[in-house]
Amino acid sequence: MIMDDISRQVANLPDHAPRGNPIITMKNVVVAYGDQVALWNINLDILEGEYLGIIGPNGSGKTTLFKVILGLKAMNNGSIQILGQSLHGDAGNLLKGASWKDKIAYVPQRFTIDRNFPARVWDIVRMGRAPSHKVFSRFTREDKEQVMRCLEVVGMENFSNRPIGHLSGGQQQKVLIAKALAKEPDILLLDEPTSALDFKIAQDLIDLLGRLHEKEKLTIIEINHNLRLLRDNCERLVILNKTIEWIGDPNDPKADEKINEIFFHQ
Amino acid sequence: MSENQLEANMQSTKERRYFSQGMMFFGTIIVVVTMVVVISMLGDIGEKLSLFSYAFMKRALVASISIGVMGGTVGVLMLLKNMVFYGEAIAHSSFAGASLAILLNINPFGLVLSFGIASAFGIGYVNNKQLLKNDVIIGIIFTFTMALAIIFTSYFINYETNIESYIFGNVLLTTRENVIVIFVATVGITVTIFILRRPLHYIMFSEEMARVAGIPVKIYNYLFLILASLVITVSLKALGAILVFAMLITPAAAAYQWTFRFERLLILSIMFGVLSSITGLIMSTLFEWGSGATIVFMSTMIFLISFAISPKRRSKTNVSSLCRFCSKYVSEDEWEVCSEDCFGFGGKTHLHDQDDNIYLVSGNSTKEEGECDDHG
Ligand SMILES: Nc1ncnc2c1ncn2[C@@H]1O[C@H](COP(=O)(O)OP(=O)(O)OP(=O)(O)O)[C@@H](O)[C@H]1O
Ligand SMILES: [Mg+2]
Repeated sequence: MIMDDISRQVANLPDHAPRGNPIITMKNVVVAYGDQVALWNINLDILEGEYLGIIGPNGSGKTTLFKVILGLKAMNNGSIQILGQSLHGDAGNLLKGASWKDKIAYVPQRFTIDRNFPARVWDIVRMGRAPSHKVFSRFTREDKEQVMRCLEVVGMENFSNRPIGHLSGGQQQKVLIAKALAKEPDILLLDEPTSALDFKIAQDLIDLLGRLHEKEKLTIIEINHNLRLLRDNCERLVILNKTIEWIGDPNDPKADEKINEIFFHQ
Repeated sequence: MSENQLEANMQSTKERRYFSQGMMFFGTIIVVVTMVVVISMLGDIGEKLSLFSYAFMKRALVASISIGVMGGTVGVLMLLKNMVFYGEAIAHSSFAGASLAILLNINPFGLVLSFGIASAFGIGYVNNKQLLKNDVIIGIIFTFTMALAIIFTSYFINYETNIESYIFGNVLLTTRENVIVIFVATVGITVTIFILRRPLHYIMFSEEMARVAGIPVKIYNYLFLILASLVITVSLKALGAILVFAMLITPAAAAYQWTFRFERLLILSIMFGVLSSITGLIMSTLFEWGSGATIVFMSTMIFLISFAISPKRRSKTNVSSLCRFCSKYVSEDEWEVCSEDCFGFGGKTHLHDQDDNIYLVSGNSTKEEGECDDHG
C-alpha cells in the first residue's frame, strides 16, 4: 500500500489514473546495441487495463523498449516481469515457450512485405489465431468468425482475398492491426500504428482503440509521434529519451514543457 | 436481380474462374506431354520405352519422382526465404564430403551429409548473427568447399574413381539402397514440412512476429537447413552437385507463377517436380540424353510456360484496364465489392469480376453494366 502511494507520487499520477495491478514490471532495465546504450535504467510499471502512451524523439529507444518487452532483444541489465513471469536477460527462453506470448500482440513499426508473398489478407489475419502456429490444432469456426470480425473492425473485409503484397502501406498496416486483434490479447503493443494511415483513418483507428480499451479492458501501449492522437486515449504518457524523462497525465501542462525541452533545447 | 440470383451469379463466376485456372494448369501439362510425344515420334518409341521394364529404369523412375517431390517441397521454402543459393553451397560442400570419402575409401553417405549440414549450419549461424550479407558467406563457403574438394582429389592415386558421378550424377545408376534412402527421405521431409507448414509460413512472413507468437524460430530455421542438406545429399548421386540445385529452384519458381496461396504453392511445386522427372526420364531414354540434364531441361520448360501464361502477370496487366472507374485488382477466386474506398462509378457500390463485367449494386438489386475492357 505504502509502496503504491510512493510510486504514485513519483509518477505524478492524478487521481483519475488507473489503479490496476502491474501487468508488466520493468526494473533497472538497460539495453545497448554493442557499446551504444539505447535504454538506460528504465523503471516502469504498466498497469492492467491501462492505456499508456509513449512519445520521444527518433532513436530515443521506443521500439527498443517494445523489443525488450517482447523478448526480441536481450537486456544488458535489469529485469522484466510480464503477467507474473520473468523474462531473463537472454532474449526469451527458446524451448520453454513462455505462456505470456499467447496474451501479448504486437504491431511493428515498419514492415515491408514482398509484393508476391504467397498469402492473402485473410491468411495474414488468421496468423493471429493459435492454430497458425500450434502444429496439432485446427482452425475452428470461431477462428474464422474472429478473423472476419477483426477485418470488419479495421474496415478491410472487402480485401480479405487480396494478396497481402498488393495492398498499400496503410492497408497493410490495418491488416497487421487486425491480425493483432485476432489474437484476442490481454496486452496490445502498437509501434506507431498511425504512421502510414491518412488522417481520417488514423483518427478512426485511434477512436477504435479507445473503444476496445474501454469495452474489452485491453491493456494498450502505443508509441506515437502525434501528441494529439496520444492525448485522445492515453491515461498516462511516458516521455522517453533513452530513459524515462517524465511520466504522468498527458494533459498535464508539464508534459508540454518537458516535450518542448527535449525536442527543442537538447 | 434478387440476392439469391446475385449469389448464384457470384457462384457461377467463381466456377468460371476456377475453370479457367484449371484449364491453364492442365494446358501446361498437355503442352509438355504433347511435346514429349511429338518429339518421341521421331524416334523408335516402342523399343526404347521397353527399357522401362528393366529394374534399373524402375529404380531411376522412383528416384527421380521422389527427388521431384522433396525438391519441390523444400524448394518452395528456399524460394520464400530468399535462400536459394544455400542449396548451391550445400551441394558443393557435399561434393567435398564425397571426395574426402573416396580418398579415405569409406562409405560416402555419412561424410556427404555431415559436410552438407556443417556448411548449412555455418551459413545459418552467420545469417542469424546478421554480421554479413547472406550471399557473402555463401560465396565464401561455396568456394572453400570446392577448393577442399579439389585438394582432396589431388591425393587420388587412381583418378578413375567415381568422383565425376558426384558432379554430374546419373539417375540410371542409382542402386537399390540409394533408392530406398531417397524414398524414405522424401516421405520424411514431405510429411514434416506439411505438418509444420503453418508455422513455416508464419516464419517466412516475418521472423520477428513469429517469435512474438511463440514460435521457436531458431529451431525451425536449423530444421529447415537440415532438411535442405538432406534433400541435396541424398539426391547428389542421382542428379549431381550442379543439377540437383535445379530441382529445388525451378519447380518452385514455376509454381510461384500460379498462386498466392501457400498450400497450393507447395502442391503445385511438387506436381511440377514430379512432372519434370517423369517427362525428363522418358525423353532421356528416347534420345539417349543425360537423364539429369533432361529432367532439368523439362522443369525449365515448365517454368517458361508458367512464366509466359502466369495468372499473376496477367492480373498485373489487367490492373489498369479492368474498369474505367477503379483500378482494382480482382483476386483469384472471390468477387470484389467496390464501395466507398473506390473513386468513381458515381460513388456507387459495384461488383466486378475478372472477366471485366461490372455490376451495380443498389440495395438488393444488381444490374449488369457490361464490359469495360476498352478503357485502358
Ligand atoms: N539493430 C540495431 N543495431 C544497432 N543499433 C540499433 C539497432 N536498432 C536500434 N539501434 C539504435 O538504438 C537506438 C534506439 O532505437 P529505436 O529503434 O528504439 O528508436 P525509436 O525511438 O523507435 O526511434 P523512431 O522514432 O525512429 O522509431 C537508436 O540510437 C538506434 O540507432
Ligand atoms: Mg521506433
